[in-house]
Amino acid sequence: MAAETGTPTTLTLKSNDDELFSVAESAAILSVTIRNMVEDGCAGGVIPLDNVDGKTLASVITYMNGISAIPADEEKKKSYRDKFLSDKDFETLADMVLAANYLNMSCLMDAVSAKIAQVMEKKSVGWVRRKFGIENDYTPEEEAAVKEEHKWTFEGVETDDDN
Amino acid sequence: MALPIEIIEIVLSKLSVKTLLRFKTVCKSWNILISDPMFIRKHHDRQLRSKGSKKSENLFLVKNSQGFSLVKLEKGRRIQTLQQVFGPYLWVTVLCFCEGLILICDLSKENFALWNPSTRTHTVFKPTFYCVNAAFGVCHDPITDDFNVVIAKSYNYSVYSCNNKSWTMLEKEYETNYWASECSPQIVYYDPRDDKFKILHMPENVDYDKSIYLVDLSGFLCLYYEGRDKNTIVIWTKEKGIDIHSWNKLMTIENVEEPLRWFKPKWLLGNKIVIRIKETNHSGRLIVYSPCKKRFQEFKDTKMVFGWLGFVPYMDTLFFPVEKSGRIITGEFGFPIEKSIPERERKRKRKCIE
Repeated sequence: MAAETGTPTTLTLKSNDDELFSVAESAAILSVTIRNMVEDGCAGGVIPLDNVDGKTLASVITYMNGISAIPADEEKKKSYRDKFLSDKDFETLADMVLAANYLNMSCLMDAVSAKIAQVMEKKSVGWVRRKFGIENDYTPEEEAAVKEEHKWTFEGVETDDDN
Repeated sequence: MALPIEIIEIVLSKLSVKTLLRFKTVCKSWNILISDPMFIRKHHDRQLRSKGSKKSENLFLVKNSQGFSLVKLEKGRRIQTLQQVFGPYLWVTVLCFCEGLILICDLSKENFALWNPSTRTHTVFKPTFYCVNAAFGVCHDPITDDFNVVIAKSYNYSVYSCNNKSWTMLEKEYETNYWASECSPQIVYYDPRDDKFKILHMPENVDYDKSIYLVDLSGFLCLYYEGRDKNTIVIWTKEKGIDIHSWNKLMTIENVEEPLRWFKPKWLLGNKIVIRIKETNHSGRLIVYSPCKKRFQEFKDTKMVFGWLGFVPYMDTLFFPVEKSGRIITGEFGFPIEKSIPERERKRKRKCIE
């Protein structure tokens, strides 16, 4: 492979909306899913990634390139991850956590899920239902009872109008 | 955006207890997930792991006249008060703590509570015997997921099962005090697997004529004693866990001016150690010692904060004894003390043990 020829091997990834991306193999194998394909010799042509759209894949590849350019320094990697995720909105983060899960990239998975948790921390129950597309299946009485039991946890919650 | 439940579980395990309790209201499946013992365990283990790391928040509960303050040790040796936390009783004595749960009793020493300050819940119980001069311990039995409260006296000890809400009284095989005894020291511990007290081997080269002290230090069992002279203190730590018997020498503190009995290691802050120095019964101060620089530095404005007793590590956890019917704990010499035993007979049995 790459080490033998001396020139970096490039892989071609295809998103589920048929966009093609070139990425260095050394960066792409951060994904265990892709690494397994490479090791099994299935990475010769185009690698189809059926669960990731083009926009998300572009973002994931930016991350792969960025993080693999940093030498083994956990502090620097962490600050890169923080910066990379800092301007992402909830919908983008949700797409990325699904992609990271599908691509089996534990470091990205950890970082994105922690970021989502950080975004959720002070949010209201209504915000969560809207963003996660969850239907309230409590009866009004049941909901009031659950809420009453943990009344103090509703103090200091952000108001609902911030999207 | 609908996320699969496995991913939701990963995200939720990173939330604070307060937010998790609020999100029980989102829908039934989230309530079930957040209440699930497996999830609680995962969330708890995550908190335990972060405790020793750089991410650790260094949070403590400090007792004050209204209850407790939640405080944070910050850079520059400052203490920031975050909020007031109210416990089950107004006037309490903190007896011991275990993985975020705190055993407290009221002024009468007749009413006890195992309290989780992060969920703001507690379970109360009353010992069926006299508890003066007793030593207290709390442990989590990983097999039954039960919390056991151990109250040890000179010749016997009693174990309260939070799951079964029952007491077991057992006879001690070793005539030692719980944890450390003052003369010819040895360390004993309670093993929840067979309800027995066992001897824990001490580090080698410990001078057996000296008093030893034991405390919890950032989740480690910490042993310390006077070194070669009155001004040095030797500190050892051991990872918690019944099967781990290896001690590590943490550091030797030099140039100590205070008597050893006023000196209490409290927390590890990177490679430094936070120590509470007692001045009188109602005052004390907090200092940090750097073994590299061999230097003591005092926390700012601690006289005010540490005028009161009680300084307990705070851990954000959903952990709590899960009520369920399980095995009734009885030991070789023990019997469960339950309400069904007639008062006269109970007295007789107690007498023969005491």
